[in-house]
Amino acid sequence: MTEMEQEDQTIFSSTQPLFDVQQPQRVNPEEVPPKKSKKLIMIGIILALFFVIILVLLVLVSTKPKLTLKDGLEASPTVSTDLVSDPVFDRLNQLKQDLDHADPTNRNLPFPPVNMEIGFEKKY
Amino acid sequence: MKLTKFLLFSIFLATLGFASVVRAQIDPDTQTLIRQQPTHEQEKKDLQAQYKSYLTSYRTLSSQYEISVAQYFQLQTLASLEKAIQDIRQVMITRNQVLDTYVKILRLELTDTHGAILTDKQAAITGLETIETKIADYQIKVEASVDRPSIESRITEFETLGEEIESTAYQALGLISFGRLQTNYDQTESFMSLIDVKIEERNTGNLLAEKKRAKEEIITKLSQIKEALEKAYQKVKPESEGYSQGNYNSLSTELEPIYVQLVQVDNYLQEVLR
Repeated sequence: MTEMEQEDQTIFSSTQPLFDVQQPQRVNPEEVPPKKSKKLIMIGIILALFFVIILVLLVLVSTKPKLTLKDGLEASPTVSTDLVSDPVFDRLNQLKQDLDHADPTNRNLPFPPVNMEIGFEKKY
Repeated sequence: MKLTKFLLFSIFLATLGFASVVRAQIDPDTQTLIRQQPTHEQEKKDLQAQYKSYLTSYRTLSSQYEISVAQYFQLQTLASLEKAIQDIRQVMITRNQVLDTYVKILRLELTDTHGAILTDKQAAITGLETIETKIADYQIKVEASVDRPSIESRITEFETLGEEIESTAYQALGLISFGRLQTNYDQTESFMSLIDVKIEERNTGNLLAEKKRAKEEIITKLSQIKEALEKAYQKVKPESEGYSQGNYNSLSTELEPIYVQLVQVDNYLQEVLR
């Protein structure tokens, strides 16, 4: 009769182990493969940040806002879509704009509408 | 850690350098626009606001003055006389303020306008400055006048001063109108030197020859404008009896066809460069 065929449960339970207890293996630090360096992760993050900054700056440059015109200056009217950025046409537009301002019929500085003959006289 | 610090510092420097490049691309254009601003723009704006305010006061006081004078002639009382005197004095003070501000605006506008012969322009500016002084002196006298005889003296004095103000103002207006057109003509003439390259860039063969003929037409037109401007300038110069509104109107009539010709030149230029 083998031990497993033992009918007396008291004897069986006292002789047979209930669970196989596995002892944790002792790890030798020299045998473990080295972890990824924290430095490399840091460098990766920094480089990523750097590229994001460069990207943002590039976007800013490419979408450079139109120049703010000061008071008294109006945006030049465009001639046609393919000529908008041409400096020669810009100058021509500026000439036309200045010419509008030079119209002699446009009297923007009329003599004041005041009575130049104020007096102590009966008018009615 | 040393490597990290070095990298961070490098990135900071690179970003700083890049940002300065961005600024350098924007700044020059902005500066050009600022330079194009007339020198006295803000000053003129302030004066125009002041002018409007004085003119509004003048209109109110002018109505009061007319009512007071009419009432005096109707009632013939000392109280109505006193009221009329005070209202005349007040309206004269405000009229001086309106005229003084207007003359100042004209002086600044003339200073910012080019195109006239420098000696004539300077003479007109000096004339406006003299008028400003005369108005200031006259204002002091009006403020000090409280009775009928002194107010009547001020009224008599203004007959001469008023004519001087009108004459000086209309002459300045003439120089401004002329100067604006002359400046535009000068700019158009200098622009002509740019169009040759543009025509050759955009056209070939028969089209190029056609555009060159068109350019010659523009040059002829410009020489006609130059002659007309020289002729018109004779009407800007002061005459012995002074410059009047009539002189100014006559000058405007002379300048109108020149303006139309310049508009035509601009249209031609646009057509040639197309």
